Amino acid sequence: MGRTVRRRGLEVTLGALAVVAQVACLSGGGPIRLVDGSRARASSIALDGVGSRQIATRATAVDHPDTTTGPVARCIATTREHAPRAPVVWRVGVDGASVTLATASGRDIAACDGTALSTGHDPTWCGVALGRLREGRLRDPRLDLAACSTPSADPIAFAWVSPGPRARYVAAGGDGFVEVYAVVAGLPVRVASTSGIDLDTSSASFEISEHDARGGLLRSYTLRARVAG
Amino acid sequence: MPRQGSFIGAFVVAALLGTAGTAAAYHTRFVADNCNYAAPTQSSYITRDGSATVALRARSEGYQWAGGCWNDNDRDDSPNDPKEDPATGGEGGDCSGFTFKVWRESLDSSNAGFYQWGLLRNVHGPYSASAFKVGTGAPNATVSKAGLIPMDALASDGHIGLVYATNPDGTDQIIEAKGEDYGTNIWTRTYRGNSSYSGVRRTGWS
Repeated sequence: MGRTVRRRGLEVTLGALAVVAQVACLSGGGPIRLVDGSRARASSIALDGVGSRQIATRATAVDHPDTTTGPVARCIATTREHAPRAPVVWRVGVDGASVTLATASGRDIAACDGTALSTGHDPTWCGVALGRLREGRLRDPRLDLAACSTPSADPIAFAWVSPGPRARYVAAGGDGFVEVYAVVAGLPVRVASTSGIDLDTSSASFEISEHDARGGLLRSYTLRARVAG
Repeated sequence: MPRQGSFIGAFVVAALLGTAGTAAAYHTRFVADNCNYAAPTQSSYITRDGSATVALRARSEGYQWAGGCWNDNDRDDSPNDPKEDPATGGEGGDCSGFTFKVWRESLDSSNAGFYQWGLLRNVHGPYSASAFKVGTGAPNATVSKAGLIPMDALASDGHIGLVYATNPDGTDQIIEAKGEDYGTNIWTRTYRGNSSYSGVRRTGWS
């Protein structure tokens, strides 16, 4: 019991930080719900240089992955990384959810990707990715586009963004909206998108911008990723 | 003579230092000059022997991260590409691209049909080693490692290789696109006894 309380106390829901104060329900053509069924909300941080509707994704840092349960535990079991470095980051976005963890050796980053989180069942991770770190950075964004699909059977692509040291938010363009991801614990940010996918070349393009703590634009670019390895 | 040796040594070191600074800009012309994007030929069947033949044509060829185009001249035409860079345009498949082509799979992961890709068709396919490992895609399934036979695969989250033959001591001869430093070839491996590897099978063999 005490263990459970302690665990919950240590799991910091960073999404709350990203959605403080100016929480507003979305209106118009933006998505109504995140992939877990929770209501999609506008980002509390207005990001410079991002014209589209800005939607806050949720990021949860799990500081004690060895005692956690639920989706994060299932990811740890799936990846067989039974002693990952803390924290493990669980993200929920509009079309996709993911878990990102650093392996015990610290040489690799692993991810679980998922989509079917709002069905009332326990989420099942449909994709797994492993990225090798070189001098602390990923050389390849580890695109995953075969394993998962949306409930309407559309393809969805997952990839890691490796933000610069000053970045606190990453924005990834979607179809008529932009998802805002908080950077957590210096880990690469796993983004998901249903647009920019080219199945003929097994590749995907993500429109990315990186922002500082006040939303100031640090850089924007197109992340081109190909399935590899 | 020793002076000449040192001059050559200094020249080699200087050349290596010179190229180190431009590694990010490295690009070969192999894909641009040789590869194509022709449609695959659909087939009604696939045999393990046929796929072994396809695999052997890649033997001694190069390795390219995210790649899938090679010729059949038994040498790496773009050696020493920078690693894990999909844009270098070099010869060869990577481990999962090689497997995709040898298994004659479709770009559509819901399609279990058989598609013969030309040797010089630059195609990787939608699966990484991680995806193969868990049997992602209609053509693929996980199977017991004890039951693996030639042209089945052993996959981990970071690599996949095809069983070419099994040795009497229980190790396997694996045909695989191993890495930029090694290219594609057959090596004796102990993947079957390694818990990070799963058995994977392309379904539908004749």
